[in-house]
Amino acid sequence: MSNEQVQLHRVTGAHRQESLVPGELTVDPRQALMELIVESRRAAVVSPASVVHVVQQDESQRLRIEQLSAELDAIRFSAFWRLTAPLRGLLTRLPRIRRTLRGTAKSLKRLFHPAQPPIPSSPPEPVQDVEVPEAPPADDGPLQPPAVEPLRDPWRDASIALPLPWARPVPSGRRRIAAIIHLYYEELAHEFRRHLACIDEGVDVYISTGSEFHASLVRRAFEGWQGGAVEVRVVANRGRDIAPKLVVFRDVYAKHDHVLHLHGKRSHHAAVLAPWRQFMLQSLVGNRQVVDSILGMFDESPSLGMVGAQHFEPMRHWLGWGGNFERCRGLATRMGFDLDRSAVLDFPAGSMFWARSAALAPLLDLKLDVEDFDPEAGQKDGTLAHAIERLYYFACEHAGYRWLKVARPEFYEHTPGIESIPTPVALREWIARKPLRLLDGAGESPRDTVPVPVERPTAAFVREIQRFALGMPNARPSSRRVAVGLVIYENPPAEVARAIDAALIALAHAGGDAAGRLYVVNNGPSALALLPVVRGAIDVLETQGNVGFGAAHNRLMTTAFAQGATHYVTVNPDGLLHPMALRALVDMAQAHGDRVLVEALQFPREHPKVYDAFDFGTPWVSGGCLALSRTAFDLTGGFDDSFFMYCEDVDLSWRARAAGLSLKTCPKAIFLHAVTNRERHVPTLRMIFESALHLARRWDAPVSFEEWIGAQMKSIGMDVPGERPEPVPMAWRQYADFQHDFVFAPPRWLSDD
Amino acid sequence: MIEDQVDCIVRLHDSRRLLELERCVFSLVGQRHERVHIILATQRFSADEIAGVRAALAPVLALAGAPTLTVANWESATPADARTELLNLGLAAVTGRYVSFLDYDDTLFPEAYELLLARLKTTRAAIAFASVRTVRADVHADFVYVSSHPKPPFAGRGLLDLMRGNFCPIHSYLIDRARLPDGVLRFDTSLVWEEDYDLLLRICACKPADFQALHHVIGDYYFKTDGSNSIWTDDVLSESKKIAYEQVAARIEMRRRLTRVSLEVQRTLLDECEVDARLTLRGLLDLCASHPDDAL
Repeated sequence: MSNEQVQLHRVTGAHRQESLVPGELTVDPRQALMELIVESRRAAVVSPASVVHVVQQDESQRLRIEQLSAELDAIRFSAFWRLTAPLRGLLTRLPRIRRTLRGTAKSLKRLFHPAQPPIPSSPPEPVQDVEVPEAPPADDGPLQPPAVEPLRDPWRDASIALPLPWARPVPSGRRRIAAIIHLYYEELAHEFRRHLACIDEGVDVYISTGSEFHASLVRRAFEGWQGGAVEVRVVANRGRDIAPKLVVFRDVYAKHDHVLHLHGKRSHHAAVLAPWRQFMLQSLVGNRQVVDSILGMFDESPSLGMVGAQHFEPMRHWLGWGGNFERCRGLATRMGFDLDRSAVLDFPAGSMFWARSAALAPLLDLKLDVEDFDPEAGQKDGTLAHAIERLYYFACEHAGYRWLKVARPEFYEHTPGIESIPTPVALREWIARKPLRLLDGAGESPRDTVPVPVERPTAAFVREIQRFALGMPNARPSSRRVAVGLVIYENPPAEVARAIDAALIALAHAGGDAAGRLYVVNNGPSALALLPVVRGAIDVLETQGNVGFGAAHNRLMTTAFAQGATHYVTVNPDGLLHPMALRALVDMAQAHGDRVLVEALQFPREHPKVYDAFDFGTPWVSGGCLALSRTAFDLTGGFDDSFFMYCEDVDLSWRARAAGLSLKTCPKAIFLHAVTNRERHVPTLRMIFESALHLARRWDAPVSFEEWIGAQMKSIGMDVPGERPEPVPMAWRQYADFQHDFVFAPPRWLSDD
Repeated sequence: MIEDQVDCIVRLHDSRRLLELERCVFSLVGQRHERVHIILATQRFSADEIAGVRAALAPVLALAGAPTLTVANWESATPADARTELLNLGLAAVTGRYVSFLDYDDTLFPEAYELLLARLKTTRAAIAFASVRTVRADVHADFVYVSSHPKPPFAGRGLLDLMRGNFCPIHSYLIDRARLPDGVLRFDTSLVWEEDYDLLLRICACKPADFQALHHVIGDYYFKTDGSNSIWTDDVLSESKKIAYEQVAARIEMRRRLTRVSLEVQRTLLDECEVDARLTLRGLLDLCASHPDDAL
């Protein structure tokens, strides 16, 4: 017994109590308690509060370890890691070879990097995309401020609050507008279409992308575009978004009074920048009031040449010349002006803005060629594209125009210089008064400290983009007729009855002028007497035996769409739809023009695969509760009947992406799915493995994955089938993911229990 | 006492947290065990707020087989934080044989009560335990985003581990009221933290407990990034709370030292020769620490 224990026992006499009833106190506790506190404070080496602190630290470290483990696992399960396993084994066994290779590598390194200084830790590069195949999300580590760059202090960095109270829609045809967009990620096309629809005046759309296949998907996304012309051009992956906009579409500017520059940016540099694209889109074309305000400013101020967005707050402290000044200076000289490194700098980071075509003339007149731009090598700085991005406002001024920045105040918490402009006259006065000039800055001095990093965007901004992705509020809920499909296979009658009851309630809340319907088919041998008496809104199809999950749903879908359904939602009978789930699913589908597959959120235990916290994109969607529009069904044909059960939803998802559809998780649509604490029987494993093998062969998975599935099958006594299905077209295979086992997507967490 | 009914006491102290409450209740709607009665214990809600709560829950409670709902409102102006009083308020409203607890922001898996009831019905235990996971989540206006799944911070193997420290979150167990002596099933209102642990110590000191379902995860414990959890937040580390927490820890230790372990419980852990009617929880722990087999 320790000294501490002896002391405590003396205070309480607690080792054996004579007069106690089990579970109850009988002595006056107050005095004993006070003494115990005093004694324990004297004796304690570690206070309870310290324990709390340690536990918190431990929690933080555990999260970091889990993150690193996830990264390690991603490597370990990657095809590359598997493919190189023999080589690693060889090197392990043969140390001499290993030493030789290491020595050679060191020699080569010295050869190409003589006397190389230590590489400084560089901040995430703000002004470019990583135009390389999809990379894992960047580490969201602590932000490292760069050296002081000559931008304005936030409190002097003036911008105009949107929307303007006096802005009004302008009749179409008064001017010609072009949206010039580079889409490296073609699946973003429909997101851009939604925003461009906010330009009531009409807009001709010019989009560049990287391949004919992607171009076909972009064209499909803009089918039926009423706002003007649509032209998609295939470009080399060179010059990021800048070369396509200024070189490939150079002919567009003369035909249009105003241009809107956008591009499908995805930032992998840091998680805090993940919604940067949405920030730019919301700021420049977020809604009709924003668009009318910006175009209204051009109308009221003929000297206004460009309108950019006030800087995204998490981005601000990274902005600057970087390693681009000398290249910028060279370009400036060619345009006819000089740059002063000590003067104020500003530029539309992200290269998205509105402009008069004439304001870009100095850059267009450079007559650049795509070949002038640096070959793509994942550069983070120093390319011609980086230089041009920093010169847009300079070029605008050199062309004789002014520029300004706009801001939606709810998107900012650390940017005090946002001003309301009550009248058109006030706008002209504001432009004349504010020294928003770079070429003759009137003695304005740049900031002398780096702004404090802002670690997250505002809650209002996050809510805005989430509601945009969710389709909230939905302007046309009446134009829908929702169908729910249940495929039953020997489910307990009570379970089916509850699922049907929940589906009927959810249908009643789903919206739409026409009543929704429930479609049921029984793949099992039991009679359908198990169905509840309520038949009015239920269509029970004649059974065709156990044809499989996907085939049965295809029958139901075909029937539902033939009877006028606009949307069909698969519902597993071992789950319960939340009463508002169907409404949320269809709201989201309609918001994306029905060119989307939307899955419900599995609840209470979620599927571990990733989905984006801002736009809710996900690599594949589960068939457990999945909404398809008639458009999506027409484009995909529904499930592939050759899958009996399992993985048909993964296959459908990948085919949907290859057809230009988006995949979304709807976190507002909750589907209570009973998947926890279930025993997995060998027959189930057989179906899973067979389907996974079929999927692997259809999508030309790496040999290592197919071998892994084969080993799994053999481990439970299965023969590996020899037949190989017709593989999908080569261009589709970019959407398949065989690097994450049966998750078929990066997981949010690794193990579930 | 309604024989097959599980009463679930759900605490709610903020009428703005209806999104999380509705998820919590929906997880109860999904229970395979059919007879569930929810007792929603609210802290000083106005009539309008209570009406708002009922309206928010009405759609999910309209589902077939959904639990019944009783709202019990703590009206008194004191204490400021009536979290423990809310639990007793809920207990005063129970009518079923079985009772459980669930905070408004946590969830249970569909088989949770079915599994725990099976343990209670096949043993002599007055309380049966399973496990819950922790999930890290961002609470947004329209939904909850689960960003990761940290490893469970709660680790324990059975009764002795529970006596050493609480590894059993409040929704990880089910209590059989019929097997408890009168007076045990109430919370000590002088505790604002660890009130549930204090109850567990008293229950487990007097009646057998079942831990055989610990390897089953039956629900989620939400660690929320908005800091709205009542524990493990920065707020806990304020000076006043440090002191309060020290006092609570001392109270818990005193509970161990002053609470006698029943012979029935001792016999689940000790040889007959070691059984002693005067043994306290602390004494039992000390005795078992010196025991060659501490795997109990």
